[in-house]
Amino acid sequence: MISVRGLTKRFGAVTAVDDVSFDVGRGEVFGLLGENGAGKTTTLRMLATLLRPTAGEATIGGINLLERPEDVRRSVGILFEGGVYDRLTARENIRYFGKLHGLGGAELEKRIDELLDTFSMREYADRRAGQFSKGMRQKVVIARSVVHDPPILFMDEPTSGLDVTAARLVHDFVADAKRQGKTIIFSSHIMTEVEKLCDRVGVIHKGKLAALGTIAELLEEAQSESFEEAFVGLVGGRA
Amino acid sequence: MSIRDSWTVFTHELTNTLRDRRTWLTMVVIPLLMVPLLLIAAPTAIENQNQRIASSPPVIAVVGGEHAPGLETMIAQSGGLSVSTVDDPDRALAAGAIKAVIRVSPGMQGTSGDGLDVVIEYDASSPASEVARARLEAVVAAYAQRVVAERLLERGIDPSILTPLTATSRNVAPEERIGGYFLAMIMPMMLAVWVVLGGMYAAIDGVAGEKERGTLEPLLAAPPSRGSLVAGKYVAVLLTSVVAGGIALIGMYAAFLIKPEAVMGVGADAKFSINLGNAMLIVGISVLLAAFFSAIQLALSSVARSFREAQGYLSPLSIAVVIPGVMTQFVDPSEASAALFYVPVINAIFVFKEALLDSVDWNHVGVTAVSLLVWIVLALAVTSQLFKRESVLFRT
Repeated sequence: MISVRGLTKRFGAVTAVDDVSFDVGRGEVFGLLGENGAGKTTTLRMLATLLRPTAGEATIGGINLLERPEDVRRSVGILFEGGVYDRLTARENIRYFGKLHGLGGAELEKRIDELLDTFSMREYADRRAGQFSKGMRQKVVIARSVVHDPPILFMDEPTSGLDVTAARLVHDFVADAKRQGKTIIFSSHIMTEVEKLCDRVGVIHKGKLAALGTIAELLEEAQSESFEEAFVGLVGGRA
Repeated sequence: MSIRDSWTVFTHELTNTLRDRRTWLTMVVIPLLMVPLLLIAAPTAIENQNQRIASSPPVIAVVGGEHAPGLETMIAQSGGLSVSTVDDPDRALAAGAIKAVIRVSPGMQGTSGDGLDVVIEYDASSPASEVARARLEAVVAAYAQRVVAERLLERGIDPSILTPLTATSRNVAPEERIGGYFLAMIMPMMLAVWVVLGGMYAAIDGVAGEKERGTLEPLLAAPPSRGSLVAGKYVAVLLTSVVAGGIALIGMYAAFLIKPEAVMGVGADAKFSINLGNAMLIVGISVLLAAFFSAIQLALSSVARSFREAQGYLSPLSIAVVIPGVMTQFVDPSEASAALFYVPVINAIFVFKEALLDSVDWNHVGVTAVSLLVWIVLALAVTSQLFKRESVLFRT
């Protein structure tokens, strides 16, 4: 479903992502695990066509992101920054992104209603988002990222800054999306949620892919019983 | 670029902008209140001061009046001055108790009579003192003429010999043109300022605001091309800018209806009217000016990392537009260098003036329109390029 080959991004003299390659199968939740500044966000930004790779290439759902960036954007849902339009209602926030994805009319309104029900947002659907709690805002962000029902999702640190309840909401959403057969790249620096949600993990450190495999494979590679210790072992020797 | 996508972005931007109180404040409330207030308040304050001075003539003191028989009486009878006796005229003048002191002393002896030295002391920082000085100078001049006339008559010469001609000035400008002249000094600058201010918040919110609240990345990751996004945002900024300019014009018209003599500053003999063609010309050039500034504002907003930083970049624009406005306030467009019609803002102000004075030069209009269009295209090209630059969009 997703194939990444030799992806590299340089900002002047700094190499933020260095020759990263991995594959993600259909319906798989792939974790990108790394410390802050490791290169996870830059990798996802390149896959989302926000940044142009310095070298390497990738295909998303069979579409080459360098050749057809707009088609890539049509087939993926992006859950990056958690900002919403404060002066718009929850419904209007979702509707805007629906329209940007080419939806409209009754079809879009039906989809918005579905999402409002899915995320239990009916009660405040027509209130302006400026008054929302973090959890309520995160629901809007998730709903707008899947309004076009994309087969692929990119999620960058989606629980960052959220309280336990709001983070739980994100975890439930990922589990539900996996059940629906969606392909997900989930970036995080939180070991427990990666361990809990991801089928396979790519450990990224200083822009390079330090390790790749299932949780069991990574534990074995690091000869550790704890995933946290395994992570430290996998990146520690390369610091 | 897709028109449908641009329309989606445009309607979203407009909704978002119109729900921002700051937009309403700069786009509607301030021009509608401030423009009439500015146009009426300042002239009215000056008029009130003049009336105060007229109703209570400035008090002056005469020192050495005995050397100029009849001068003190002439001053007292002039109607515009009140003569007072004070012990210490210098202190009284310094304290503001009197507005001027006239000192008369014997001067050189001439063959035709005694000369006099007259010194008028006044306080240049006081408007009432300035008025007293001007009125005293007029009385002294009249007194001198009277003395000359008396001396000529003593020698049997008709004093009219000193007046070989009578010069009279006659204004040939129609009343409407006088009104237009005064409007042309202030109106173009005010219109330009509000065109800039009107689109400011929409431009800041449209890019820097998106960066700050974390909505720019999801927007850029949506299918519409960068060109469609820029086009939608640009037209929204342009519309708010044009509406603000229009409301400022309404404010000016309201001021004109409420107190025309204050707006035109020349009393009841000035009138103003404008034909539909000239009015449409002002609107058309205003739209081009708004289009130019909207592109610049959007470009500056793209460069900024936050709302506050964008405000720092955009606020000076409203001041910058005043500079050409002041520089050209007293310049007659028909006498201006042709090169100035290639300079944005200055060229628009000149065309506004020509339209207000009903002396439109279509060559000037053509050069101004083409020049503004070229500047708009350049500014938009820069904005579009900025929207494609990763270092600008992901500057945090």
